[in-house]
Amino acid sequence: MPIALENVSYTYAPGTPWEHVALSEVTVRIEDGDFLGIVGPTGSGKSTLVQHMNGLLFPSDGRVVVDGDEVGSDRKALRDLRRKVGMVFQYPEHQLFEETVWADIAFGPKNLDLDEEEIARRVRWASESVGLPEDILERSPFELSGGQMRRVAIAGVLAMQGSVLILDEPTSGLDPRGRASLVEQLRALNQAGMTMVMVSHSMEDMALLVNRIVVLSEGRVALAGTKREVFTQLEALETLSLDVPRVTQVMLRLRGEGVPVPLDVMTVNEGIDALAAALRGEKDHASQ
Amino acid sequence: MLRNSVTIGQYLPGNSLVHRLDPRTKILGVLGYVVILFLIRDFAGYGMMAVITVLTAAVARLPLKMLVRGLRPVLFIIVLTVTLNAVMTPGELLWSVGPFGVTREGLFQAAIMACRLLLLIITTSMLTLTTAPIDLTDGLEYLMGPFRRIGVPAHELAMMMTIALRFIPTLLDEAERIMKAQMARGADFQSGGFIQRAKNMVPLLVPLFVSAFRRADDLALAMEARCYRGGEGRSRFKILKLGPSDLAAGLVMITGFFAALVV
Ligand SMILES: Nc1ncnc2c1ncn2[C@@H]1O[C@H](COP(=O)(O)OP(=O)(O)O)[C@@H](O)[C@H]1O
Ligand SMILES: [Mg+2]
Repeated sequence: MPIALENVSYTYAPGTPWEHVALSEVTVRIEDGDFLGIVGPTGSGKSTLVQHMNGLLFPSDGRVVVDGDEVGSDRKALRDLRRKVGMVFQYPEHQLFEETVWADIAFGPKNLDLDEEEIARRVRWASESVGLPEDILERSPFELSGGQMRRVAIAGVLAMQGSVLILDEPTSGLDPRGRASLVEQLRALNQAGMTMVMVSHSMEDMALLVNRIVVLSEGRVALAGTKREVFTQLEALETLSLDVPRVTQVMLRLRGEGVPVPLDVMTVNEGIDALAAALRGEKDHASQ
Repeated sequence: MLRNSVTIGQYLPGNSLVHRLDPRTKILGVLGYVVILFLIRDFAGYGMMAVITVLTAAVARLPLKMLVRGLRPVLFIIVLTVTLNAVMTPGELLWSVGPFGVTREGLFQAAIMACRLLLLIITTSMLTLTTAPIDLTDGLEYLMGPFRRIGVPAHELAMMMTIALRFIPTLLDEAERIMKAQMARGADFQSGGFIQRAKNMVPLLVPLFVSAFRRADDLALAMEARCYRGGEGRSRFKILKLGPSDLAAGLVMITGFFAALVV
């Protein structure tokens, strides 16, 4: 189910003193199985952009095409769209409301009018996918830790079993361990065939997860391309005050010192390999 | 957008003559305005009051369109009040709809109520639109000062009001976000009968209350961490001072009010 945003512009509160152009002429395409990352400084329009992907916001100008159909205001089509495109908002733990974790995760599937058995199956699958222990399901979501609440909220969206999942800063505010395990779980979901879109400040998370990146700046697409294409545009990223992953920074320094390493290195393991190869190359060179 | 459709409680920074008036002048002005609104019962008077409002809005450079748009969230209350007045007032029957009768007196009463409510809401929202919340509280606290002797906690009341005003937009934003999040999970806030709709509000209201309490806790902690302990012995950063423009504004308002009373 490809999602295409074509020349999308969005203005908040048009015609009032609070008028604010949040997006201008943004074009983005998401293919099936993609893992798209969206980065940009605070206020650059990331959250506004992703809300167009499941019909929570409609473009002031331009259009959004999902699966060949333009997203409009038809109620039934919208319900369908929101079922297929799951959306995890920033700080999703603030949306929990049920008495038990189970009931909260089941809220979405219940709105789909599924039978009890299917609901139970989905709740179990969703809570396993985000690593929630079984004994938590009967507890109140309000007595869990922040990290666990975040997982419950993500499970609540997963349980809709859409084919696309959008996450707005899913790892912000998590401790390093919680972050690492969530990153793993998101990767597993994508590998199982779910199309993913992730908004994040963390270039490290981007390096680990996504295959394509869109960089927003003041509501416009500043850079776009594969992860490697984007992360090697160091000057452009710097002018937007965005970091590159730490490993990439190390490679950059090594290059400055004359070590012939590649720049498109995203993870620590790739870094080790690249460094080893470079050192081996030097040794071979010396022994010749 | 929820936040932008509600003008009550919002502050629109500016540097107009009205913005620069002493908050006490503006508060007393609005208070006087409201009293007059409820004293008069003829349309010439309301016309005069409307003129005062429109002129003030022009001087404050507030677009009228925005003020009118701010009425939308309370439109339901206005319509309800006007309808009830139209059908519940006894008097000379004009026409009847089922068991309800619209009377001449009812229509008159309804029109009066409509004028009052519209002017009341627009004018009070103009007060907060042109006055920074902190100035508003300072003004209120000062004006309530004399009542402290009879046990009115002036400072605390003023502080509570500022905080409430400050958090209206925040809570509206929050409500909008939670609503969208639940809509993404298939929640429906629009269809169904009254009971069903009320039930459907639970996924919105529970998180909203939880977050309001959390914010209140955080705020209390942050204030205590900075040694806040009420108004006792608290010094002021800004001292309120009445200037010539306050005197002028006061005179203009009093003239306007008299004119509205006598026409
Ligand atoms: N409901 C709203 N009303 C008015 N302006 C908004 C609203 N939501 C966001 N904005 C503004 O739009 C811009 C983009 O916001 P957002 O998409 O949330 O950015 P990001 O997620 O990249 O931080 C910001 O300048 C923000 O202040
Ligand atoms: Mg955001």
